[in-house]
Amino acid sequence: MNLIVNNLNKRYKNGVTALDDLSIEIGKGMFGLLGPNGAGKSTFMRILATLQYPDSGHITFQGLDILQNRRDLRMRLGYLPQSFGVYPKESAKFLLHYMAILKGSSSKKQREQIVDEVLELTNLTDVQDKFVSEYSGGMKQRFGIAQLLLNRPSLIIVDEPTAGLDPSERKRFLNVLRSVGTENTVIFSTHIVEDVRELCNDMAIINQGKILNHQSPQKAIDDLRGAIWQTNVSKAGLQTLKKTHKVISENYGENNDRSVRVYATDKPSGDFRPAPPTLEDVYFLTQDGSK
Amino acid sequence: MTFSAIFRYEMKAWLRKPAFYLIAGSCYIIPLFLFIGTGGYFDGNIVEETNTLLFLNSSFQITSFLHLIGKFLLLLLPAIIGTTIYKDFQHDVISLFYSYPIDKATYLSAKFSSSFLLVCFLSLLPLLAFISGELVLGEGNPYITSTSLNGYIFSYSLIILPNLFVFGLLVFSVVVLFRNIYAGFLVVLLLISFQGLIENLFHQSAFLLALLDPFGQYASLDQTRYWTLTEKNQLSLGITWTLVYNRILWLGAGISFGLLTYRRFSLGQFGIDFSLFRKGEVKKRQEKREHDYGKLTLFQPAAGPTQTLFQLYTMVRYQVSFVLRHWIFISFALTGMLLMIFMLNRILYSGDLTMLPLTRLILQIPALFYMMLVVFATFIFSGMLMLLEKDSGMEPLIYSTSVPTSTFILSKAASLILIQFVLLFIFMGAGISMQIFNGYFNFDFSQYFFSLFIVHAPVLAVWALLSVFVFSVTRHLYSGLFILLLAWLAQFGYEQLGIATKLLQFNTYPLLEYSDFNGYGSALVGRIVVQIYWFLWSILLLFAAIKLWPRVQMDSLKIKWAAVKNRSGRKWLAFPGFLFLPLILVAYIIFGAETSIYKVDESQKVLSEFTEKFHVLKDLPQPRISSVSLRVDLYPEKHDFNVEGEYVLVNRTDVPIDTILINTSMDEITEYQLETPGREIDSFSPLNFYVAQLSRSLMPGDSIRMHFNVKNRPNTLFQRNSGVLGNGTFLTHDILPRIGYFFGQDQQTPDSSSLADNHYQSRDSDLVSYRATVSSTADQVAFTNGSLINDWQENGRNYFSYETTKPVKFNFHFNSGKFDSYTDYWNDILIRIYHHQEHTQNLEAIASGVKASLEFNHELFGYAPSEERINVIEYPLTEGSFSTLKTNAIIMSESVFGVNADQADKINLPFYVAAHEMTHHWFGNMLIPKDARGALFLTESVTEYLTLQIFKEWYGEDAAHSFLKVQHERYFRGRANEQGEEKSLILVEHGQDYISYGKGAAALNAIAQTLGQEKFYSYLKEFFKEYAESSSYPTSLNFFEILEQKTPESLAFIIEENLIKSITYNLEILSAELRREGDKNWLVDVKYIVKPYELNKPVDRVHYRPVELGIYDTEGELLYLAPIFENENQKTIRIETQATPHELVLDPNYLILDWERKNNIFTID
Repeated sequence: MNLIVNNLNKRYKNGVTALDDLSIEIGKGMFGLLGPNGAGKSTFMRILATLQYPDSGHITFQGLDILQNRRDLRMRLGYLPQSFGVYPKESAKFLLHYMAILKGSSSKKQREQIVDEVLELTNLTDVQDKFVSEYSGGMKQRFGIAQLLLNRPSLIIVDEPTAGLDPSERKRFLNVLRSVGTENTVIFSTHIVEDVRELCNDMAIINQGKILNHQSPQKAIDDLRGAIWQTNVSKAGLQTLKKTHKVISENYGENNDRSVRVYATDKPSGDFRPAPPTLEDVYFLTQDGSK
Repeated sequence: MTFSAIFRYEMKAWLRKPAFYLIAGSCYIIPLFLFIGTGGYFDGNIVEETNTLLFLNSSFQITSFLHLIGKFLLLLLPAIIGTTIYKDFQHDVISLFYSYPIDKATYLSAKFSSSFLLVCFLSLLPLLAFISGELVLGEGNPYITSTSLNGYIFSYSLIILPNLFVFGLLVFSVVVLFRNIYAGFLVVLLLISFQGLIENLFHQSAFLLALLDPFGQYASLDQTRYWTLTEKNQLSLGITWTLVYNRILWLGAGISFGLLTYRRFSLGQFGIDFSLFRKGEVKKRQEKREHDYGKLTLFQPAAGPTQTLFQLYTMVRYQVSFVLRHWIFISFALTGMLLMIFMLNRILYSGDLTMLPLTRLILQIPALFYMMLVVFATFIFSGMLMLLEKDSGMEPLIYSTSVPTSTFILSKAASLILIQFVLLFIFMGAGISMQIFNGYFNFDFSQYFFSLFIVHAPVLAVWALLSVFVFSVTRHLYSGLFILLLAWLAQFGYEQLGIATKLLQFNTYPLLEYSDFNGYGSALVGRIVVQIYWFLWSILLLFAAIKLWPRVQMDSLKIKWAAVKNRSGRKWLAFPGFLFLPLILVAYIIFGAETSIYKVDESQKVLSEFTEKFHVLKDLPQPRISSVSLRVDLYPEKHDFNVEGEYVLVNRTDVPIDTILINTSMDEITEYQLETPGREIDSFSPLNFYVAQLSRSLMPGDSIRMHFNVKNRPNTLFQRNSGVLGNGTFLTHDILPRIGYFFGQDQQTPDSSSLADNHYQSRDSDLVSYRATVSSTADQVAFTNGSLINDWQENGRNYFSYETTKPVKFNFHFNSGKFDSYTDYWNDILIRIYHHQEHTQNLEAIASGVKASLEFNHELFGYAPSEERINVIEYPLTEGSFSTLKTNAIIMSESVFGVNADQADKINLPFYVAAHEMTHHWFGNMLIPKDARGALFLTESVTEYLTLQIFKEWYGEDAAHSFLKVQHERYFRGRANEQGEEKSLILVEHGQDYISYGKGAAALNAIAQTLGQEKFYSYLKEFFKEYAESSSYPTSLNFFEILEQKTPESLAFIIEENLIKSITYNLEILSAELRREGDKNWLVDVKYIVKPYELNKPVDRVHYRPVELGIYDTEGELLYLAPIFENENQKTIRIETQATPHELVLDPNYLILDWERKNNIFTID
């Protein structure tokens, strides 16, 4: 009963190929979609959320062809877009009640209960009577999650939700998402690698509309074990190093010296020490086409 | 970023948009079509008389056109200027600029000037269109004269450009302050409403109106108020002080607002926030509960029809409340209410007349304007609602729910319709409040509901559904509004563009008139059919809106088309397919009814054809009708009638007659038969003209009978072919056949040697003996001329037999209706008023008017009416607002019965109308003028003068002054609209009521006052006696000769000036200085102007005539009244009084026709 995407294509009028024959199968749990800006993540998410037509391709979820049965999918869908607004000058409580009705709630008692619950879950109970249009960024994102949960969706699509959040808001947000992700299919797009590592049991890296890598984060990291090396170099030395080695990333250390991570199946010659692989290494290597 | 960078960017951005070219195209094409359409380009009609035409390209007309176009150009302001700044707020560009090294002056001025320049360019296009229009029509076109650059330059530089600048600045400022584009559109609508408001508030103060009018329309056209047609065609408009003040005032207001905005504006994040409702409080929780997702309540989403209905209800409730809470709605509602109240006030208290606040009055003009406002409100609210999710950014949240698209669209449509209902209820509330405020408690709720919710609401609903459709296609506010406004404006252009069928005139209906007798009458059915037709279309539009609604992002037309096709499966097509059946059926009914409309072709072509063929018969001796006997059967329920009649035709000439010319009524079907066998030798069917030759000549003194049958053409859906109404029928002798050659004969001057011995109302009869039986339904009473001889019931119908005691003019009426009656007596004569059961407010006044006239005229001229009763019969206002005397019946319009005669300081119109009509018994029925120019002087002018005397006796001197004031205004208003030549009073023609009534009463009063009232009465009596007792018909010259004979040389000017010339004056007090003379006396030095004009041209003084000067104290008591004689154009006079003078008035008794009386009054401080 997975989400199965076959040969999905989407090309914009300006010639940009957003999705290029993309196929993937996504099961239950948290799925992270990693990719740089413009990789096609949002297009993919919008198509999954029934808000955009692909040029071609098929998508089924729990056996249902969602391009043909949009309404059926929408019944089970929870969608939090990258950016959204709300009706002006309306409280969270009002808007959640409103959305609950649109999502199919018919009993007032039941609606009040579920609205209270999602408010609690997203920690918005205290500010439920404030206008959402005046919420801070983090509060607004939590409201986004609250509205998404109203119909207890089995497919949840969350498009770059943590962008622009401060660390504590981000933490809080991820906690909410984590509790949701255990029972459902949650597709979570981001370009923050850390989010995926913390949350997801499955992930894909996408660029130029193609899936470059699809496996669990842990497995991806494990695959790199013993192949990541670290050294400190000067500015001039870095240029030389780049010519001779596969440099994954570079960081400035405390003394303004450069700490460079290098990918090599065998220990490179020179002053290299082994380093534990990270998901970031996977991401960069995948982008680079080395992995 | 500098000024020029922003400026250039904005220009380029606009010039890249297709919408800009759409707007530019409309700015050119619409005015062009308006111009050439008015010039008859699409009609193909030959214009008949060139002297009655207003040139389209005269300075006056170009200015008038550009005023109209200028109002529509105002829409460019929010669309171009508003959008230019608004898009920065919409896309949050403004917060980027916040961090740029750019100051607000550069930013705002670049934004405004670039968009203003574009607007200037667009506003030149209508001028270009008019100039092209002149070329298209060509100089040969009778509507075109040589190009008037004055008109274009005057209008553009003084009206259009300043208006666009001032209101552009205003719209710009409002959009900047509120960061809301709707506010820009609202400003334009408020400005237009403001003009309507001051039109109603200051209609009696031309200066204030001209000063405050935001568009300078009244300020620029004030100078043309009394211009005659020729002057409108020839004169150029000039710059007046009023115009200068007006322009300065509004430029000042616009610039001040702009500066204020500049001060308030900052390149920050927030605009001004007007929150009428609470912002949420932060609540502190009492207890903290722990929740995790797994424990969330699980519900099975409901998806059946009940849930869909519930969702629909929820969305409608929210959307309606969103709009109702919005300040734009509140502004609309307040403006609408104010507009309605002021407009009603103006109708109720127009000048010297007060109307009762009847429900029908509220539901006519005020409702019409209010509905216009509701349509505009619908357009704006549809934009707000259709773009609500897009504008708020909630689209992805809402669209990813399982609510069907149809529910979204239906919710928008239903919300708009409900909002319209709210606006209609507000109108009803305001109307009822106004009635209560005026002490009128006879609320007609059923009329309110029927008119607002059955007649108007469906029309509004169609506009709502169209709006939903338009905003489904275009997701841009300004292009949507633009398209909708064009669709709305189209209703004024269909006829001009030659689109005559209702099947293509989108949601357009003729005005529906209401009468208490019949409600909306037979026209209602046709209208409802057309309403159904457009409603069905709008449902199809709604269906299309659902299909086209871009819920799912579609990136190319190909995908869009595929999506529409995908969504329009067989199941989906079944519904519109099902709708097409009734649509085609209704269209077929409309088409059928339209093709069966009967039109009389009286075009110049037909008339020329007729004249060419038959003019030889013009002077053919003809017999005269001497006796009329009729049987008139009225069928109110079917709106039909049938007349069986017989004339006796007598040969009163001294030659045998063998050919009779018969002319039957154009609208009816007539069959005739002459007693002597003969044959029809010729005919001209387009004008129902027949030539019958008798087998045996009719010798002088002999007579012949003619039998005829007349019935109306069958009634159709859009055309009632008879005057028979469900209730309150009023038919006249127009339906009957006539004898002789009637066509193309203008009235001749009274001194013409070829003047036939006909009276002014009939060319084929003198006085005729008359008898008629009129029948109607069992619940109606029927009337005609004369006294009731017998009445009976037969086959469930009522029959009434009438006969006149003496021969009467050929001037008959046939009335039928359900009436209540009111009875009064004058001596032995019974006066009975037959009226609608609810129209009881003015019965006493009407009866008093009849009695006062009988008393006054009987005393002055003798001769009581020959019939023993006078009937006053009310008829529905849908048939006219005039009143008339037919033998012994005054047929009076319903509109007179609705006057509020309780206002002490106003003219009691019902009394006046009754007295006027009754006076026609003497001047009209007994003294019957000859058929020549000036006939109306002897009937209407004399009658109006006598009515004034009756009025003065009954209501006193002040009321008589009000009466004269009304007549003076009537004259000046009328001559400004004169399409031909203004005739002197004794040569007045038909259709020149402003002369025969307005000037007639004023002139005869001035003559009587100058010669002496009693003397004048005696001359009138002498004239009356001579002609009322003889069988000859007098002309105006006969009365003039008597007057001329009796008037001393020294007073001859008064006759010359009033009767044989068209002289008006400019009287003016320039200054007055007050000095103390000794202990007791005051000396006043008055400087004044007395300047005569003949037909608006200053004339050299031929004689010096006295002008009265009245001096009044602070209590308004007259201290001094004397004729002042002057012998130069400007003169000073010194007056001595004992009491303290306060006010000076030139011509206080209204003896001189002066078009501007305000400057005749001077108050001394």
